[in-house]
Formats: sequence, structure tokens, C-alpha cells
Amino acid sequence: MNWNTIRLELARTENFPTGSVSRGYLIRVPLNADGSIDEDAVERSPRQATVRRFWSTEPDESGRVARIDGRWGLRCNGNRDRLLSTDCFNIGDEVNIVEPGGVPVPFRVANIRRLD
Amino acid sequence: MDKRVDGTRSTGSAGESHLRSILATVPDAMVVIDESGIILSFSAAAEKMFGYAEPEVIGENVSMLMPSPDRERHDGYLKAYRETGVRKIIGIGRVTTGRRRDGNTFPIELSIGEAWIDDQRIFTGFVHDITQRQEVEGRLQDLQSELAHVGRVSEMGTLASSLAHELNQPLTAVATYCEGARELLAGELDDDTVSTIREALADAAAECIRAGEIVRRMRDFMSHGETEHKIESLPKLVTEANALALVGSREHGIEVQVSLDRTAEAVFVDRVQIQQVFVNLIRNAIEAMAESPVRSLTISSALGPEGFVTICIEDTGSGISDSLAPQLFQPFITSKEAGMGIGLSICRTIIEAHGGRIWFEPGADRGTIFKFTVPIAGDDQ
Repeated sequence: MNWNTIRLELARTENFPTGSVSRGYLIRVPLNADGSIDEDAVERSPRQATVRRFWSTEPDESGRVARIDGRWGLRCNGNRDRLLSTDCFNIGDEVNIVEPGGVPVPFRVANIRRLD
Repeated sequence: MDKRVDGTRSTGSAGESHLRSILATVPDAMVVIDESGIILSFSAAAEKMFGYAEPEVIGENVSMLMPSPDRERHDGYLKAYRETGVRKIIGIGRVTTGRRRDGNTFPIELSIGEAWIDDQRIFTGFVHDITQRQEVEGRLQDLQSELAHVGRVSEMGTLASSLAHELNQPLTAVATYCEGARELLAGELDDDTVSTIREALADAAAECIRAGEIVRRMRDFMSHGETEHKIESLPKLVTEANALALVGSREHGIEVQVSLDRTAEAVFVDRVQIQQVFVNLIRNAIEAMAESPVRSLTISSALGPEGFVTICIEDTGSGISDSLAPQLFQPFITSKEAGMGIGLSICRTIIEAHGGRIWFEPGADRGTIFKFTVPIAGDDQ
């Protein structure tokens, strides 16, 4: 098992000059040693690759992590797909999540916890 | 310890350093917010409990510490209080759930005080983690004694068969005495015969009284199980039941996700009974996931069928074996070594008494989805 829960927290933006810990995502995916998403393992158990979005005063969103147009993306129920700017996660990295309108929102990899 | 600070007015001269010293020493987590819900201070215990450092959360909305459905509704709660002044939690306290930074939820006892500092209204929340707390049983005692009655209701099926047996005895005796008396009446009526007939009829009357006693006992028994249907808020029911179900749970790392249909929030139910159903199903789900690598519990609701809301409780546990499935809601059926097997039969009795139904389906991947329907509150209530 190389499944992990990755916690992304909003990084510095215009509206949040110091980022925001109350806005983020929990992404559950299998990771290779270099931090990249293990695509074979996701293919074997696609339903286990899940995402939950936490946003300060909004209801949770949840869904799947899946390949969308050749990239990794987040497919939350009742919402349009969001795309990940990277397929590699290491603590402290900054990654972008591209909103449906094409606006990239920066997040910081706050934590990676191995699921055993 | 009385943790409620209630309606206190401060001159403001207490000063920040005083507040700091309190914050550093209070054993329960303490979170101070302004009247719009923005976090003003966050005690050391709160940092430990929720996993955030104070500088990270100052200026954030306190709703970040709550799971759905409270998170998105909290601003509304504050607004309603500012506008109406009706206290739903301030000075009262309640059992609810908190959300840690890692996304996990845990049961808390929350007490809130209101204070004025320099004409600024602030709210102070004292948060006590009750995951492992044994004494909470005391607080929940009222609820549990009510739940015991619910248990009795479900025993009624068993009771009915023993009742039939018990009633059968006096009725058979009455028939025998009456038949004997009828036969004696057909013969010669000397003093002895009349006396025997009189005795037989007296015995028959006594047996009838005995039968009446049995019926009365049955009625007493049932009256404890009388239900009290009222209009209740489903989100509140779920939040509370969720907290109750997590109390004393030795399982950690369970993600609980609640997503409720906003168009079906008012339900017409007996609160205690429906919470019992939630607690039973959530605890079952938690136990079913004990060995699972992925432990995720989803509670959702959707309007329908007509007049009802359907509630789903989905786990990612081991699923239900085919051999157990057909009789799952029967009493004394269990896969647990220490279980009595009456939990689900209680659930079914309660749901059916509400006019709803309960069933289960296999989960999308593995695990199980329990579903039940309860009536929504209509205009006539």
C-alpha cells in the first residue's frame, strides 16, 4: 500500500496575503517514491482515489481524483472539473488547482500522511 | 466546573495580558470570536486539539473548526442570534462535533459565553473533547433512559408471542369451566351440583380477571414506548447523533462527511428514537470499518419519496455477508462476537413506527449503504 492523504492549504493570494488554513483539499491517492501519483494503482482502485474540498464557510465537496484530458483532475459531485497543475506532491511544494473558469489557485502541500 | 461565562459585561480594563494568562492555562480549548464569527484568540489547548497554530487562525471564520452541515450554516446561526436574541446554545451548551486540521471529526461538548468588551460583543467557546470521556455517559443518561423505552418497543414482537401464550392459558381454563358448568346444568341440579357450578363460574371469572391483568401489563409496558412526534431539524439531529455515536469510539481516523438536502430539513419525528437509529447505524458503520484501509463515513439525505426524506449512511467497511443479509433486521441476528443483534431490529421498529422504511444496499466499491425514510414536516403540523 502506498496510499496517502495529501493536505493542500490555500497559499498566498491577492485576497489572502498569508494564505488560509481554512481553505483546502484532502486528496487520497497512491504515491510513487518520487511523490508522483501512481497511475497503475489508481486504475486498479479508482473509487479509492478521492478528494474532499474544505472551504471556510461553504459546504464540503467530495469526489474523485481522475485522469481528465490527459491530466490529473478533481471531479467533485455537482461541480465542474478542476485540474491539477502537477502530478507530483512533496511537503512544502506549491501546486495550482485550475478552477473551471481557467483561473489557477495556488495551494501549499501542508502534509502528506501515509495510510496503512 | 461550570464552564459557562454568561452575559458578563467587562469594563475592558481586564486587558489583553489577563486574557492571555487565562488562555494559556484553561484546560479546555477556548476560542474567542467576534459577533460575525471571526476568531480573535485561540488557546494553547485549542491549538493542540484542532491542529492549528493561533497565528494561522486569527482572522479566520470559526466555522473552519466545524464539519458540514454546521460549517456553512454557522454564519446564519450568528445572524439569527443578532437579530432575534433567541439563545439556542449560549449559556446552554451542547454536544456536537468539531473538525481537526486533518479533516477528521470528533465529538465535543461546547459551551458558549457572551461578553461585552468596550461595546464590542464577543463570544467565548469552551470546547471539551469527549471522545474518551466516560462521564459523558452521565450527561447522556436522560437520553439513554429514554432509549431504553425504545428498546422495549422493539421487544414487543417477542412480547406479542409470549402474550399470546399467556392469554391462551386463562382462556382455555375459562372455556373448560364454562363447558363443565354447561354439562352439569344439563343434569340433576342438587345442592352439590349447584355448588360445583358456582365454583366453576367463580374460577372462570377469576381466570377472566387474570387475562385482563395480562392485557393491562401489556398496556403499561407499551405506554413507556409512546412516541412524541414533533417538527425537528434534520441537520441538528444528525450533528448530535454523530457526536453521540463517536463518543467512546476507539476507532480513529474516520472521515465523516455530512451532506444534507437543504430542501428537506424539517422532519416530523420522535427525536430520541430517530437519533437512536442514527447512533446504531453510525456505530455499526464504524465497527464495520475497523479493519478497512479506507475509513470514510458519509451521511446524506435527499428529498423523496413523496412526503419523506431518504437518509443514507454509507461506510467503506467489510460489507454484509450474503448469508446474513436476508435476515439482517431480525432480532438476535449478528455478526459481532459481543453483539446482541437487536440494534437493527430496533431501527426497523422505529422507522416503521414513523411510517418509513429501512433497507440496505452494497456500497459503490465495497462497504454498505443503509437507507431509511422519515416523514418530512408538512403544512398540517
